[in-house]
Amino acid sequence: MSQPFRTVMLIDDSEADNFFHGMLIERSGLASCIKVFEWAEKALNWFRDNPHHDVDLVLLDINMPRMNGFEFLDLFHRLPPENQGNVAICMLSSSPLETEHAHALRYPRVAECVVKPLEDASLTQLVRIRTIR
Amino acid sequence: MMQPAPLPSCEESRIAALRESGLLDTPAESSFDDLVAITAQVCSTPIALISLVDRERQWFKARIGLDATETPRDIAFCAHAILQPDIMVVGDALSDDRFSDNPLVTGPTGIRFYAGAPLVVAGGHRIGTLCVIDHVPRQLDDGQRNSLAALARQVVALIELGCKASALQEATARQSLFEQQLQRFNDEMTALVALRTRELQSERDRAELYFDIAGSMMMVTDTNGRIERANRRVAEVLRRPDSSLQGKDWFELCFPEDERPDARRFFRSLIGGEHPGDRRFRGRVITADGRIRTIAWHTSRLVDSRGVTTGLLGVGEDITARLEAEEHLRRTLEELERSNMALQQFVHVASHDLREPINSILNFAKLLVRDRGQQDDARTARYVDFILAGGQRLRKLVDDLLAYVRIDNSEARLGRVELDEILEETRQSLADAIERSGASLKSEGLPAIRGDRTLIGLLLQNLISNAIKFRRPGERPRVVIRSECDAHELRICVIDNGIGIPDGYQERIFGVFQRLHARSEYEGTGLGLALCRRIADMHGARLTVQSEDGHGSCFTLTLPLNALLPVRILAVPEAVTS
Repeated sequence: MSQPFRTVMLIDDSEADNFFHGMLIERSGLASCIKVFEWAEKALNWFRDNPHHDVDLVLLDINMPRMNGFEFLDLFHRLPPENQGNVAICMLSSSPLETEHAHALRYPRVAECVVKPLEDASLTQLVRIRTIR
Repeated sequence: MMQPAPLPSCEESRIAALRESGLLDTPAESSFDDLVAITAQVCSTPIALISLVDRERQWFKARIGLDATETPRDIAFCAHAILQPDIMVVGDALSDDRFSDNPLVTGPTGIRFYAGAPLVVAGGHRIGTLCVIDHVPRQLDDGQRNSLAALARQVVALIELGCKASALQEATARQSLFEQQLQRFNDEMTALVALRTRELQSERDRAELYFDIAGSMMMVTDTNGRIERANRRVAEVLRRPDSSLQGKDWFELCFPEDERPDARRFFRSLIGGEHPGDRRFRGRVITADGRIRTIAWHTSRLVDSRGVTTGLLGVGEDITARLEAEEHLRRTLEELERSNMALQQFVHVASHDLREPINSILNFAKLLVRDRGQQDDARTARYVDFILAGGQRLRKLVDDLLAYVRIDNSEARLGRVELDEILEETRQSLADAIERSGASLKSEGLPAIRGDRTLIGLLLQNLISNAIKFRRPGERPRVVIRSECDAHELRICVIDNGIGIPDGYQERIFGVFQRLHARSEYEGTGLGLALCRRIADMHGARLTVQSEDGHGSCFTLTLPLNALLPVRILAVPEAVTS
């Protein structure tokens, strides 16, 4: 089976979560490559510096120090199209809060909201994102 | 042949005049008796009479020498005598046709001689006679005749005197009756007036009592604002003696000097009729001990019968306590609302931050279970590290949360806090971190302040531990704690040479669960500075930060000057001279 995603990017300030999510995705064979950022600012800079990148999916934590998930969304949507690329964004949060989800889904690039931690079931949701696209 | 005397021409009015004399059937009186005695003497006759000629009889008011008190008129000599103005003399009755067969002549009385002078009263009526009678015929000489006439006039005078006397007596009696009635009337009036006066007085007393015991302030001033009357409540509110108010100027009594002109202007508008008579407004007064009370006034202009304004009646309610209670309630509600919102926010963020390490622990525990068969020690060790870290963070979070919640529910117990002592304690509890980082901690003459020792300790420890934690990689932390003081406030500064805080985050860091760093860089729960800010609030102080990204931070606790306590003079023990 071909891998649904070329590169998956994890943006989360929690090292443990990044490790865990990375391993989960690696094992499931969803992606050929995984990129990890603990700072949303640094992730944004990477997108700015790398037009025509091969990131297909971003798992974005909402609650982060300094720049949180929503601030990242605002700035990401202002990037030129070649910098935004083919990205679909899946929001991650520790608490299921309807208002936050509704707010996130108004951004064009946001395809899904998932409550942490990622599990096998949520991986299936991610595959569906790929399929829809 | 005996002839009864004809009736005089105006008999009815003569009878009336007789009755008016009031003599008929009255007892004998010595003055009349004396006159007939004198008459008999003067005329030398055995019989003398005062005869009053009534309708059917003649009745003798006084008599001498005769037993009968009255005789029928038709045989009376006197009935003839009153028919003529002068004395009638009958020298010998037997030789007079009118009397010769009169029983008084022929009978035992045996009259032979008769002389009668009519009694002429006011109005000209002859009501009777003064007469003399003898048993033998005879004549009167001129002297006797004149005397009889004169005595008859005396009888009339005596009769008229009697009339006047009785009239006088009657008048006197009437007057005395009238006077008695007048006196009685006067007494009644006096009693009535006294009663009304008492009623009025008691009414006034009652009105005064109501005025005085009324729960509201009641006051009357003249048109210049001078107090004419003020009830007890006014005195109570103003905290002045009851008796001290009358005659005082209201504005001098109740207003600070600079507010008096405005107050007087307003008063004049109430008096001057620019507004309708009744007004309601709120005003403030100053009490004798300098406190300000708010009064809800209802004033009415006082107008006399000619429509001239004479003053102002003010009824007032001291609503200070009510307003304070309302204000307190409003503040409490605001505070509740604020704390409710803060709590919701707090619960949301807390649940998020607590979930995070729990998830982490569960995730890696599951992986351990899943990978049980595989012999990859390095990987297993990694999982366990994450589980441990999660557990530790969970414990730290719970500790910090508890500390924060406890502080939020407590009140500062103010006392003397020696900052030098606190710093020393902090140095000891942070000994590990200081040693590991090679940090230096310097202080410059810290004062004693008024505050909660535990809370101030917590605050200082948090700031210093932050100063050590957020150090620049590869550099020893240098932390300086110093105090500054100016005319208004006392500032305690914690200055470090750490990584600093970028612009735009310098206020945000004081929020609950706000972090600026990934956990892999700097551990923390995001509660420390929120806790410090809360402690500052509880001391009426401000906690702020000045910082430049990458160039250290200076956290400043700014306290009101009255938190600064004088240096304690330690008693120096004197040399023991035993």
